[in-house]
Amino acid sequence: MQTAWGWLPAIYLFLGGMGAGALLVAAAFEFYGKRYQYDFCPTALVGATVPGPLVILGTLLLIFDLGAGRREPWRIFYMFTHFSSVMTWGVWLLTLFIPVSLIYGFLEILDAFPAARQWLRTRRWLRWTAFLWNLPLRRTKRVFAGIGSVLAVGVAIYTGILLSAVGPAIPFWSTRVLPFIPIPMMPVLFLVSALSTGMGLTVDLAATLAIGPMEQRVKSLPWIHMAFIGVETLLLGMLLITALVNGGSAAQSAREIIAGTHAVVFWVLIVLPGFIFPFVVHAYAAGLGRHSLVSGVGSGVGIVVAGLFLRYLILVSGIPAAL
Amino acid sequence: MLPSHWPKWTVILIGLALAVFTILLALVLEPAAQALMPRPTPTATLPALHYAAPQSRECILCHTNQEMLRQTVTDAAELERLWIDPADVLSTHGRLGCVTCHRGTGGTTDLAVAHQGLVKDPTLHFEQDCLLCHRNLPDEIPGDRLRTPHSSVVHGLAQGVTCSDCHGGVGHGFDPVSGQVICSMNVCVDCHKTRNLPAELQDCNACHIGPHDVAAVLSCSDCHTSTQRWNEIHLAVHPVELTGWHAQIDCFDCHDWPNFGGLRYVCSDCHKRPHAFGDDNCERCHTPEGWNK
Repeated sequence: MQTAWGWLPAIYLFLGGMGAGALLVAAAFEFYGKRYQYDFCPTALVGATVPGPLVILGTLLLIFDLGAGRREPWRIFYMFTHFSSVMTWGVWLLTLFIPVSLIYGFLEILDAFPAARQWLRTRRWLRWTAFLWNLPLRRTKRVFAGIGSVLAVGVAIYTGILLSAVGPAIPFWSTRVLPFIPIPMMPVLFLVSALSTGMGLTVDLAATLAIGPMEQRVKSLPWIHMAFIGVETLLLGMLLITALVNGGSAAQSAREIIAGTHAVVFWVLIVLPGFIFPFVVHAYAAGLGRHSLVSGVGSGVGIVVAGLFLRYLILVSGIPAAL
Repeated sequence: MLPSHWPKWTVILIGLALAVFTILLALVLEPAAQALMPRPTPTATLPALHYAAPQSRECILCHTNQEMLRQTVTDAAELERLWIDPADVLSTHGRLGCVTCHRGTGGTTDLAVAHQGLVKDPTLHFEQDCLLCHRNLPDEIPGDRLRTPHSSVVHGLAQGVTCSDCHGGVGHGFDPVSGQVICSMNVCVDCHKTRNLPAELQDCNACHIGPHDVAAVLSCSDCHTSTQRWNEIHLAVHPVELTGWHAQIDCFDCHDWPNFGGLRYVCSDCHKRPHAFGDDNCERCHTPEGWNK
């Protein structure tokens, strides 16, 4: 197993992915009008406000994981101009995503809590911002939701592209979607997993806690959720099968995950809480139109926890290529 | 559901708290889960590359400046050896920084300190530094018709053959791929002969991919007499004795490339009869010594 990348990069991948996924879910509610169907939409509120802080925390962890980041954090600026590097793409994506998501979250708070907007408008020290209050709030919010969505897709997939770019050294990370399709699996898997954890956080957890089962508001939600879990399961299975077919250290990585040293983490901390339990909960909800508070929250927590372990497992199970 | 008297924005804090809770939970659960499984023996991981281009500034200032080098080196040949073309510093390998491969101490103008622990040929001692980046090494280079069994590089290292034996000073302007000389043939052949390896590993075919599919009846040295130039040939086996001009023309003036098919025996296949008299049996009058004989 490779030991150069451990928990800090895994937590960054998780926070970045979940933040991007949550924003995409909030933006989907915004654009499909679900945000305004009721007075209060916890999914849009959490999906808009949480990504900024999450990605900031993840980025700080990433900087401190770099040896130079601890000693000379300003050296991160060297990474802005090396455009052939996937890391530079990531630095730019994060640099743009963080302010856009913070503004989107701020606008969502102003929209959801008119009292907060009124409070800010009456502050003397904010008089210089008077011109901003004349902007159409919801239209402005939609602009930032749109820009944020594009950046969120970039944030979700670039980490997968980064891992697959290291592929020649760690063949498991550059495993293709299928042996005969020259597209790396990691960006695709990371994007779907980001959406899945984003839904787990904003729908299963936040919405269930705030208003109860969301299925009563959005009938198709259990089916969408099951579809994402199904696609993620399919992609993860294809990743492992393709790695096994490829042989070498990629196959060794897959064997360690399925039945080797990482088997308990894979089956008990990823498959069970992140795939099987949420699928059963949402299948139940799809059939009966409801589920309990505990199962909804449990599904959300399970998906989020599995999302972190999935990224950690992909990192630590990488085995350097044998010469 | 949340208590009704809790403000609605509490859900934002719960979302953030879940992220933190998940991280803490994972840090606790992962060791517990791994404890249930046998601990793996860590395999060789990526060695830390001593990436230090900024620290190599003083090396570059001196080694690219002949005036500064002359202060400590008087011998012209040694001066030539130690001087680095400033353009090479900007090459792919040059940008890694001198101390990355050659060790020593960067960031100092003190000559003795700078050269402390210096490694002249890094690949002799730190071949893993090369392999860190160059992991997909080709076993064949079809364009050059060469077999380059890089996957046996571990064998080479065990026998004292290092990357620089074939690829030279890649960081100093030598292009290992499109350069004029990639590898001296005797590096492989001499070693194989010294160690009395099987005949097939001492033969041309060990490294060269011949264009002719005639290995069943001919070996390379039956025709090719030089190991320096492939077109120096001696017709050791030929069903018809070639004399005169015919002995000097290229094989493929008569034979088809690459497997010597399509052989023409009749003079008129190649020579056009310039006169009306006689017939196509040229040998009635002419000899291979020349058309006028």
